[in-house]
Amino acid sequence: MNEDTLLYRIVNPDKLTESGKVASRAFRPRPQDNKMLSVYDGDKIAPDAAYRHYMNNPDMPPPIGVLGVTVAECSAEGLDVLPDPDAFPEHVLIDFTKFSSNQIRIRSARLRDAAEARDWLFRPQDTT
Amino acid sequence: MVATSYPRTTKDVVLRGSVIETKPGCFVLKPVFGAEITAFASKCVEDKLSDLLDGAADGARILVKGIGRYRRNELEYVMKVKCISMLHPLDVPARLDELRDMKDGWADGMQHPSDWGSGYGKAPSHEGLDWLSDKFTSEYPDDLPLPYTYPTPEGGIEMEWDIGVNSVIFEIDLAAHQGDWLQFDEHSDDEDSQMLDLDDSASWAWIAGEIRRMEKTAE
Repeated sequence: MNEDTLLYRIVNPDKLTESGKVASRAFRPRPQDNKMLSVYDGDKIAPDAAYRHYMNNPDMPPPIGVLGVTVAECSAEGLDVLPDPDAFPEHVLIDFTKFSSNQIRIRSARLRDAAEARDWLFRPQDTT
Repeated sequence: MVATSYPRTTKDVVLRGSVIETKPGCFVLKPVFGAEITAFASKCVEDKLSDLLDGAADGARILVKGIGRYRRNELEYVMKVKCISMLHPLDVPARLDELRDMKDGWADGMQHPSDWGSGYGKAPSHEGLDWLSDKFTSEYPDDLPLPYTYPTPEGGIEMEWDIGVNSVIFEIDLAAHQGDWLQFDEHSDDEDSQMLDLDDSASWAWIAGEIRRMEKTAE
């Protein structure tokens, strides 16, 4: 990974968008996950492959697509990016641990804004 | 065999949805949540409906106010449409209706992969959605910008406004009737947060004042 590496976030499910706008929640980690947000390492997997990897879990609601932020965009928000290959080889964590609940909400909104400015990297209808 | 008859009643009804068919003297509405309903309309209402739908996007939503005919407390049809109007794409009660079909487990996949498949994500309660829909309709001024409205995995609602350089994330607990307000701008990490009692009209007046102030700053 380097500063330009894209980190893919699977946006799930459709109720997290309204009139095309994605909820900042889609980029917010849970306290139960130790304030770590799960993403895919774009140097190791393509957006459509990340989507298919996620879809290998049939019990989960189908996502609406893949958005991405760069390592540099995370760094600008003071967020470290850590490989976490124990989950699967392409798995990466964005680390929000040094921030309060309110500052996590602010940073999740800014990551969402950066990802939306880049537009969708993959949506299921791209294959049809 | 004795046929059972159930009393029919009439009362005012407000529906939000899309028109899927028009016929002379009536139209068929697909509410955002619920079964299709036939609504009987005067020529005047029919003409207004035609004007509204002319050039509107497919699936555009309208607000219908009228008198409903009920049987066993179930709406059978709208016997008289009093007025119709186009709904804003971010209309909050309509959006809350969209969330009524959610099931527990809806947010599974947002969490760490080690927890995938655990059924993460609580659906918002219909009682809570009813309460928020009524509160927002009665307390939030019509002339202010509408928020984007999303469910939260905790079974609540989160509203987001982006007005100029200012943003708001407002997390609403549907059970406690409380709102957690967080306001910030794109240039700094400064934050302004408030816990608000949403059964208190003063809280909604405060919200309206803040949104109005942001709107004026953005001009």
